[in-house]
Amino acid sequence: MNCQECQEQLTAYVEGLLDEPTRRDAEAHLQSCPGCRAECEKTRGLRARLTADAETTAQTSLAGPVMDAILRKQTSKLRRIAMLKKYTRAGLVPAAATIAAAVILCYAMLGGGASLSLAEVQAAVAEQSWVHVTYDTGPFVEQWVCLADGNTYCKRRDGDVVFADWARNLRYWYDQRARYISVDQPATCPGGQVPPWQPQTAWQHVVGPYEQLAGEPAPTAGVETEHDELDGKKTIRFDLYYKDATGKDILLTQLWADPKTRLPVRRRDRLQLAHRKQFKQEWATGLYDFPPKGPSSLYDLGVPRDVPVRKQLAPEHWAGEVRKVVEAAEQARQQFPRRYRAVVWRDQQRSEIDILYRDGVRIRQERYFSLDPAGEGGKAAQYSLAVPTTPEKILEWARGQVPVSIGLADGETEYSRRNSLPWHNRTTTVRVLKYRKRDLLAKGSRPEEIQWPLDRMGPPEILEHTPETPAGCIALRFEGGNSRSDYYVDPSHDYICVKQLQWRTRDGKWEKERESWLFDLRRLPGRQWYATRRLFIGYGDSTRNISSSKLFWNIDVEVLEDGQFPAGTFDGEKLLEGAKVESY
Amino acid sequence: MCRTDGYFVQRCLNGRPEEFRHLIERYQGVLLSQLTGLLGSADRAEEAAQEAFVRAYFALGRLRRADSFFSWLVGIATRVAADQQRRDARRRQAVRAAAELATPAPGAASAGAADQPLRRAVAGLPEDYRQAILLRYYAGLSCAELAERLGKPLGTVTKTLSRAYAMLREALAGDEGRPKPRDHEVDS
Repeated sequence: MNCQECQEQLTAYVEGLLDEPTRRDAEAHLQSCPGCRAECEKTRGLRARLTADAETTAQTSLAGPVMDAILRKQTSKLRRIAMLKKYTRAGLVPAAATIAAAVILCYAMLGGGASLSLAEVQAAVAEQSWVHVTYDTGPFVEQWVCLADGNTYCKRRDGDVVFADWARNLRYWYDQRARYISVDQPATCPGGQVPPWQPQTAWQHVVGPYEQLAGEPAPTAGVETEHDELDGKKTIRFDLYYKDATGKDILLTQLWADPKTRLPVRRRDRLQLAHRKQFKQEWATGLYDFPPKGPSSLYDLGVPRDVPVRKQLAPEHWAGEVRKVVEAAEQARQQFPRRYRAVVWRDQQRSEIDILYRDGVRIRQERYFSLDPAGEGGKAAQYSLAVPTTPEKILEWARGQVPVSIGLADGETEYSRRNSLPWHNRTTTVRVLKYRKRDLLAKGSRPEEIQWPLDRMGPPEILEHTPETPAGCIALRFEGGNSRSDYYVDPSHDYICVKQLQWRTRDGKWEKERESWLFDLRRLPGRQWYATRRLFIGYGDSTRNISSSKLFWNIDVEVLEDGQFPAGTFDGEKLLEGAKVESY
Repeated sequence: MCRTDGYFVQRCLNGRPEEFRHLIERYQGVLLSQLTGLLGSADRAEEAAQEAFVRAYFALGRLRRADSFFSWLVGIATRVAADQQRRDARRRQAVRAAAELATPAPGAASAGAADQPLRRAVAGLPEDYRQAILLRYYAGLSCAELAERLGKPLGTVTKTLSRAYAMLREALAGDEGRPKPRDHEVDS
């Protein structure tokens, strides 16, 4: 090794990265060459100096003070939210579908350094009679709120029109496709007693819907005030931030108010995930006006006067016999095991296979897809599973597969993960939502949903025994507008709905749309019944190009004990790995 | 297996703010070294490093590529240092006389052992060389880890380090030959 080679290898030498022969060469050269030796010592000296200095930085720990500072900054936000909660908890809470108009104005209590405070906006709104908002996109076209009584009207983009009468706890929903108006009670009142109407200030009606956000267990919101210009006019903008289920701060709503009139002029709302996909827009913009008068009924908003009105009462209002049957079915459903593993699969190749785990409120659903071994070239063979088969074979097969999707509810949060698989080119995504807000899990494959699918909106009627009725069964009919469902429940087998018929109207006549049968009932160790086979018949619809179909499902339920669930079954964090996370 | 920065960033964004601690522990040495080099005092560097971490935490959602956290953080720290220097300059103008009397001797108020000439020299290195030195020594990466992190062959990394050592030695030789600057004169 000569001097130049030695200099080139010097760093690798002092770092101990040279292979054995080269290291020996270098050492031999260093022994014999004082110049290179001196150079090597200098490099070593510098490294030692760097290492020593780096060690001094480790004497200081920044983690504590920085995490404290972060916490302090977040707590100041939290304190503002606590005030907000106290404030909004006062009034009756209209449903989310009602106008969320000016909801962020409830930050009035927060003041803010701008020349217009939310308190002033609140006072100005309270002097009005009606609030009217027109939206450019999203589920609503127009919304009206009467500030005197809180009554709310809204025209939806799907053509439906809704009116909520808060004083009487009644909601009228015009379904333009079914052409009827349903009436239900949006607020659940214990014992069915609607509490007497308390006149509230106009302001509380407007902020009421905000309770949903403010009532979250974790801090969810914060607001910032900015000066802004709108069409050349000076305005004050209030930005509401929301902490979503993944803990990320996202801008949720913006409200612009005119500092002269102190009234809101415009709002901009981030659409929910489903609406963002449906309307291919991220934001909906609404323009405010404050008319002296608003609609007085649904008919003022273009609903035809000749459509039928049907009352959809909650089960506590149903008549004796019907109520007894439905309650018995509900009770049987409650007694179904709460800890199990279920496998649901079809008598067919190229179809979905669901594997479910339930432990109380915690549910995991894995969906696999079995491909036809004969088709789709080489990749199909890899993912093929010959059916009909047994649950044991399916579970073994699934261990070597990546599920198409996984749904998980852990009692607090719901996750829905869609995996990217070799045959489709998409990103792996996970949607994360706070539990109870919306259901992300597919219900169709849960044994309880399959066996007790009863509609809760009624009341139903009990049908006379006909040749259609399976032996020993009671027939319940739920009917509304142009939809009709018949459920045949079997009282001798835990009120399982062994037959289900879905009807539709065609030229004023009822005809069958689809039919579902459950059979091969089996008993679990706890003596509860369950069906191991399901037959589905679709009658097709030539006008909508839907052909008729006949499908068989197999259902296998295995009751599990604590500790029999595979490790990590209900670990939501695991589902987030390697995926794009979406929320809210 | 050592978790990547991207992993911790993702965890923070997924509602686990406490995971930010790992990133602080990983890069506090880098920031302290870099900021001492820029600001000339270990105390002010510590203050600025805290501010940089807090700013980074609240801006995590805007970080486009979670794995570029390190260079993004160093960018934030550099801006914090610049802000602090501007603030100092204003303050100096206002109380020039008093400040001159009160300015401590270099290093006197700092956390004893900080090697300020060395940090200044590191801060003065061109970007690529500085990054290599900071990650190798102040973030404690081995050469192999450094190569993986920078996506370069090991040979290139050792060459970069050799060149950086040469530049550092040169800078330190020059620096130590000169009278030491006062705290507030470092940026000029």
